[in-house]
Amino acid sequence: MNASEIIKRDAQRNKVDPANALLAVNKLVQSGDGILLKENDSVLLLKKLKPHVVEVHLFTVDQPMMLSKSLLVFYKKLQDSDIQTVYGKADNPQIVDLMKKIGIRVEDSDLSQYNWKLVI
Amino acid sequence: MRHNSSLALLDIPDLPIDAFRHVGDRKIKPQGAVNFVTDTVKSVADIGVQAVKPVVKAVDDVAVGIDKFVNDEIPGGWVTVAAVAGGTALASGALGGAAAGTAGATEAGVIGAGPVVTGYAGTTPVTMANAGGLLSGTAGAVGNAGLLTGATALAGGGASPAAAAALSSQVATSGLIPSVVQSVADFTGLPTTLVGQLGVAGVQSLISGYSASQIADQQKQASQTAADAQIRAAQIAADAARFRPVGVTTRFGQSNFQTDAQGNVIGAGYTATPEITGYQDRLRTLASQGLTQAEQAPTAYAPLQTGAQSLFNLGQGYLAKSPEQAAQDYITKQQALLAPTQENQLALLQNKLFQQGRTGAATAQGGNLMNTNPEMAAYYNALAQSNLQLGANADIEARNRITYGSGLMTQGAGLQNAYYTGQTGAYAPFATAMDTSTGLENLAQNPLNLGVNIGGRLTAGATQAGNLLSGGITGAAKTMYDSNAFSPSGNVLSAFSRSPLIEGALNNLFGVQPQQKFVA
Repeated sequence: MNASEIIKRDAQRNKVDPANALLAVNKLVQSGDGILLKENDSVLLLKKLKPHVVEVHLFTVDQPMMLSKSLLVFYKKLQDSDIQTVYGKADNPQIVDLMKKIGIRVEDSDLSQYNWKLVI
Repeated sequence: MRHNSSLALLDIPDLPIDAFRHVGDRKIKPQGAVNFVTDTVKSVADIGVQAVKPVVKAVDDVAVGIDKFVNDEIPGGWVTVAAVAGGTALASGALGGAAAGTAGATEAGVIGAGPVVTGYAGTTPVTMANAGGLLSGTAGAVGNAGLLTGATALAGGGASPAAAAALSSQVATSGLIPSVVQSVADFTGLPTTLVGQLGVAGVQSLISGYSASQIADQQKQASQTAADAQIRAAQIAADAARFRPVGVTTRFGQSNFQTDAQGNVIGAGYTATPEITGYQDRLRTLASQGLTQAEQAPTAYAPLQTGAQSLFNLGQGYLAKSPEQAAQDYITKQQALLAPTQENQLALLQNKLFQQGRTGAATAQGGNLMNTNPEMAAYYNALAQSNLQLGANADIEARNRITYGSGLMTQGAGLQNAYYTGQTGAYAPFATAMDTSTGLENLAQNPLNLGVNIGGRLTAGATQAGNLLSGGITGAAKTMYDSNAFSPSGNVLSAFSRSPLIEGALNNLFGVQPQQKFVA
């Protein structure tokens, strides 16, 4: 499945206008402030906040176990980069617990607009 | 408008409450705020799409653009994200500033002129120093194709991560003095001029990238080693489990096993000793004779069958009459036997009386009895007494005759049975010879059985040993894997895939109903 299709379907599932989602993502990557990674049927959008610090958004239609593997691949890619800090806002707090259980050192965010932080 | 989801961080609005409200004529209200659509269409125009085209068409084009922008890896680190998306702008903008010499003293001296940096900006980016104010904003990064490529080259060059760390420390401590630049060039295989242009941070990033690549390579090698070890372990276990019979020789025979080049058993047999085969040859003659006798037995025992039939018929004659008929027959036959004697006695008595002239003489007997000749009276009294005696014996004799007839039938059955028994017994010489020969064959075959049994036990032991060895190798491979390649994400992945807790959490998280598992 293409990245754009994944984004559209994820947006529909989250009750977001798919067109708006696509345009926003496109705008971000076109501006140079965003990078898209794709693994299986998941797309991770990295949005630059400042050097070595990013905000991440996950678009996915993966089944749970496949998503788990996709997440770990994303995590590995983050480790291989010189990104040092990742911020995110998990709409479902269980995802934060989940990341902790699989060994990802997720912390509470020190920024109000996010609810988790990861120091690589 | 609600902004509750994480996508609000990207300025993507949630659908309005009346998102699907009909506006008449079978149409619903278009989605997205008007201002946003205008903004996005404008952005689409920025990438070359005509703003006058329908929004839907623009969105389709955007989707195609997004698909083209998907990366396999994070290109060289986050600092250079801007270079990934807009290399041209970066080179002409931010790097132009760098070329103008406004960078910090050290980094500016290293990076040097803009054209060098511009050349990298168009390709794969790598982290470079952000020398305070030199590169700012989205242009705060400089492209460099060297990081990953260089790291790969390093990995193939045999340098160690420890050496990389030492070199990185040397770069940090001494800066890019000529000797250090030369060391880096030797380490990386890159020209010294290029190393100098990378700057301290760039060189350190390069070396850091090497370390990451080296670790990944080590992990790959460790995985391959573990896989090879497991394959080898499986081969050992399979080889150990292969059946290996044992040759056995006894007093009566010897086992023979044929194997192919791989040690697989392809044939088995045994050889009897000459003593056994000699016995068997002689027994074969006896068996042949015995079989001939058995074949002749029906003819030899045929008279038994004839006698049996005669007895059956005779006995049937006795048993065919009722007891009364049998008694009558007895009396009749006995009277017939006595009749000539009695007639002779009567004639002699009548002649005697005639000679004495007393043929008609009669004397009184007293009472109401008529007068009679005494001799004649005595004769007929004796005759009556004889008949009475016959009548008294008739019932006993009738029963005796029936019993006799039954006995004849039994004897006939005995003869018939003897006819069959005799024929069966006629096979005994043949069967005895064959049984004896079979026993001798078993004695000769015993070595084969012993070889199979002993081989089976040895194979079971070897299989267990092979399994233990296999398990040991596998365990060692796992141990070596952990020590050879430290990979947090790899360990996480492994644990992740095995953990039902995590799987359950995921299922709960995403509302997936787990499938029922059946255990046979």
